[in-house]
Amino acid sequence: MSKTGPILIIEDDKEDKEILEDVLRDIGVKNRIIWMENTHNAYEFLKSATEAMFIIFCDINLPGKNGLELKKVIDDRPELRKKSIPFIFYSTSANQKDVNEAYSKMTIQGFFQKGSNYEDMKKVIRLILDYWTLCKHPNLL
Amino acid sequence: MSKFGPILIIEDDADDKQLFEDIVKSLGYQNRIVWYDNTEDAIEYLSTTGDSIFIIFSDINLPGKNGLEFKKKIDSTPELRQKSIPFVFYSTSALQKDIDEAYSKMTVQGFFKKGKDYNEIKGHISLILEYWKACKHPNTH
Repeated sequence: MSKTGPILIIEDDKEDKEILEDVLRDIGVKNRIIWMENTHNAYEFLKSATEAMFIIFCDINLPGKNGLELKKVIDDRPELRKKSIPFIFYSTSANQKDVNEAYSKMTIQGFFQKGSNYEDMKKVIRLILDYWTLCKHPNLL
Repeated sequence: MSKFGPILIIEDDADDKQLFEDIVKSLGYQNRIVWYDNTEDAIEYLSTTGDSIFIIFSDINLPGKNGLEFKKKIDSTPELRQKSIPFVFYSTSALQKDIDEAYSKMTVQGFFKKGKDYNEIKGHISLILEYWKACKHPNTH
């Protein structure tokens, strides 16, 4: 985890990914943005990445293994868990069953529902980035 | 975890606790504040309470078992872990060693260094509470 490191977006909807990217740039985020459209590729990327990431935004419903399953795999792999990258679910759907599972079966740093309009999204994304920018970061990678 | 539940503070300095409480009130939060000056009493409270707690703010340096040991105890006790309460370190000292341990040996939702003056502290508390207010919450006790 590094404040200047890349932001990883795991999102299968290209439009949603573009909106999130626009919001991030609009807020003034300079970090590199890396996009993976499924959890398999995201996992392979995280395993081989040598850069310290800043934060992961992950959708819930994804082709193949979903977001919840990806997070479980990260928690189970010591070398990935050790990277201590804040993991945020950022999803259109936020059914209570998924929220409960995210909190009780794994360790997450937040679960946010996508805003219904651009301004709402911007507010939430800004809040998330401000929070993790203020937060002290480990130095493990 | 409930947005309206109590905010638990573990802080051995009564002045710091008072300042924290004043700030939470001044930000307009109505949540009850539950304060413990040591981690043993906090564990006892968490184990027996029916309260659905909104968030835990814990200092690192505390008499008896410190904040890091306190968090490990919560993680390793299934009925406490199940409560899924966001856990934030809010500490005067922020040694890299403690930060690294907090992220790698346990699961934290943030590690913040106390601000130097009232306004800085108020900014931090405001951001942390807003973040967890915006976040989706599990339905647990």
